Amino acid sequence: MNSEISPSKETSVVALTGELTIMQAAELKKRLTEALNSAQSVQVHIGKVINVDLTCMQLLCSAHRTAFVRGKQLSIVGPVSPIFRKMIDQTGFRRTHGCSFSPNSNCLCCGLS
Amino acid sequence: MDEQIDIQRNAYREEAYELLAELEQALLELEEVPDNEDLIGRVFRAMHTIKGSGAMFGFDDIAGFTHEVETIYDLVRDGKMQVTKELIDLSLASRDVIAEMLGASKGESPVDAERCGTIIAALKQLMPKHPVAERPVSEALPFADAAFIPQQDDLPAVTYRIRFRPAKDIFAFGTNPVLLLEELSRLGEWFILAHTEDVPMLSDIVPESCYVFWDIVLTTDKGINAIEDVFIFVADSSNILIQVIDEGDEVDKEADYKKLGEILVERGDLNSDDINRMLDGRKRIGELLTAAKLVSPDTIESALAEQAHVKRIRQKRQETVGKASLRVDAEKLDKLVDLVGELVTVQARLNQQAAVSGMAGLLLIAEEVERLVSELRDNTMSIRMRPIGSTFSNFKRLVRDLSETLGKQVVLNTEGGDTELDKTVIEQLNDPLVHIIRNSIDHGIEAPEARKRAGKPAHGTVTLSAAHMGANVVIRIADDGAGMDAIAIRKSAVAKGLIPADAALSEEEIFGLVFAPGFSTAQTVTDVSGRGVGMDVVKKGIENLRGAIDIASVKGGGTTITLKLPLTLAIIDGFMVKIGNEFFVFPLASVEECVEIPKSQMDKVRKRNMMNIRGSVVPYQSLREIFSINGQPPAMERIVVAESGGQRVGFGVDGIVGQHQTVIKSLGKFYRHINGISGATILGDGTVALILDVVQLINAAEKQSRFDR
Repeated sequence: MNSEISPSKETSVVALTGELTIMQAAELKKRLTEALNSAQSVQVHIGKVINVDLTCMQLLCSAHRTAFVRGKQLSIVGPVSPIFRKMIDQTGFRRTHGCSFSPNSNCLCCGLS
Repeated sequence: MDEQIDIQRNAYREEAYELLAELEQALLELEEVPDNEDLIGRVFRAMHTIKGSGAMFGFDDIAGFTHEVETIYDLVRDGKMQVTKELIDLSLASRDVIAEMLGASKGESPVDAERCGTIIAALKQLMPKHPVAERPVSEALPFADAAFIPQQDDLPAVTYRIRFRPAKDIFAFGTNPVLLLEELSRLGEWFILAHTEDVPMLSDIVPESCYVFWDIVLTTDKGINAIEDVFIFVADSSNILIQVIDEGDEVDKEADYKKLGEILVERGDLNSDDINRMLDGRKRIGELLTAAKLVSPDTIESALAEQAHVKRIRQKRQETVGKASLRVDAEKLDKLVDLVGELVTVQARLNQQAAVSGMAGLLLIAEEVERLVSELRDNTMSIRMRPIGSTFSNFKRLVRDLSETLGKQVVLNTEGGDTELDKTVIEQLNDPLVHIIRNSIDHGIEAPEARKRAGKPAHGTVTLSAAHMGANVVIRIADDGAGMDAIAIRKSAVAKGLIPADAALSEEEIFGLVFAPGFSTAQTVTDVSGRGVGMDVVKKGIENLRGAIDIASVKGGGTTITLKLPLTLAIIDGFMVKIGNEFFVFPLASVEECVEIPKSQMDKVRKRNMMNIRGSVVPYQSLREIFSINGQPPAMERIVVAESGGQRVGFGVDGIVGQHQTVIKSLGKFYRHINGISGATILGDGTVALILDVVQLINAAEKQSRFDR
């Protein structure tokens, strides 16, 4: 997994590429934590991800609600690779409304497929 | 006036028998899923109808008895009583009593009043002293995975609700839950929702743990086994709940499904008190619940999805199964088949006359009539065809009861239940199959401890399978029990004088000995079987259906009994031959080939009753001799080689006429016991041809050859 964090006071971009599996999970957690610590809004790019598994989906979800709690924003931006889309469908992460954590917000995966 | 009443009472009886079958089925399923409201509803409705209609047509004893049982299920429906194994046992016993009452009303023996009283008293004992306010959470009944896993196939598309909560450390065990979900998705149409309520904050989350659980609504016809198999390796560590929410076979149910609140309560996501409180307000329940933080939006969405899914499935089903079905008097159907048979015969005569006359116009018409009659014949035959699955289902109860009585654990699997057979064949198959299954469970499947010691799973498996093979249906009853001991059988046969002590028999022949009358190797005669009258009666029953029975067995591994039956009884494809001025018909299915033997060799063949066909020795019999037909045999004799039970015999005839569609007429009582003839048929010009019983002829030939040795 490669990630670049382009820091700016306002927006931090986490561009993920390559594999996002349990092997990269610990690192992903670190990256997301850093990004949320350093900026008000975090944009996650997943267009170049070639493989994603449940652990990383969980981490993204966790990051999303962490952002909410801190009054910040985290969103997935840019094109969604077919792998990612398939993962969302196959694992029932697709949401039509509501986040399980904060009922009035949208789920991270809303509108992604 | 009386006749009217009789007709109505008969109609009630018919309906009642059907309801009793449905009742039994529902009870057996309810034992598996004791808190399933749909199943409880089915049981209640069946009894309610039996009671109501019974009262209307003067079956007061049935109405009175059923009322008591219905009362109990009313309590169950209201959540005031739980379904327990004892209740199921009593309910099944009640079902039996009602069936006996129906029989008594037809003139069979009356029902034992004391037994009725005992059952009612026992039922009343089960009733709660104080009504229970809330429906308790069900626990698996102790027998839930022992005697009773529903059949493997021929299930309608049933809809299940599955909640899969993997162990937190499931990844550490190398299992990827996503792969399991993928497997599930291949079983049928599904809706899946991931519950992320438990996913913690980034600061707290352990990335390699699993915090997600899933709600899945799946419609599949592969059966609950297939679903459980998906989770088989994680069943111990993960939390898996599977519930049936739509049986897939009730078309007259409204397409509507449960209300959202009902679904949430059923899933255990919500307390019924909360629902009632909420409903005092006016907003839509989903919004109310979410706002009150009683459930998460995920949970609501998931439940809504279930609602939509099942509604859709039901609507689809109502559309496709719009085809109407009709109840027809069995006698009328038989008459129809008879008439079609006559028509086939007359049409053959028409063909003959038309050919003789040579008139082109007539020939054309005769051809067309032939075509129509053939189609009519096929159509009528197919009306009589029934899927054998319903017979297989009847054995569920048998296996359950037998397992309990004998202290064994037996699972019944069925395959090919939609294989169709002639209705009469199915009816006549019931007894032989019952006996074979009884044997399997009594003598074949070992007790659980013995099985464990032998390294087998504690529960034994009996598999019933049916499939079309050519013009036949092949039915197999296989068990994974102790198999047959060839040595013990041989010993017993010698002791009974069935074979000489030094007889050299192949293993197959030894197994065949169990069909001899009076045979039994059971040390103790149990109540169930082992009286030694069984297998020979079974064989006769199968041969009456013009079928064949075969045994294969592996000691310690199990036994497989194979039945081969013709598809229809009334009309067969025949192979006609001529001897002197007489015509005879071989069932085409048993004819292997025809050969010619030149006169020079015939003397030798006749003397030794044996001939050489391409190097193998085949026994020979002269039909002319067997049936004592007068006259001079022709110069060249034709031999029809027929086969039965793996044994071939060449039968000498004068000439071969060829294939002939044969409408079977049974011989009168007077002629029925003639060996070698199974019936007769009327030819185009009105002469009678006799139909040969190949099985009997070959058996006789074999006995003769042994005699000659």
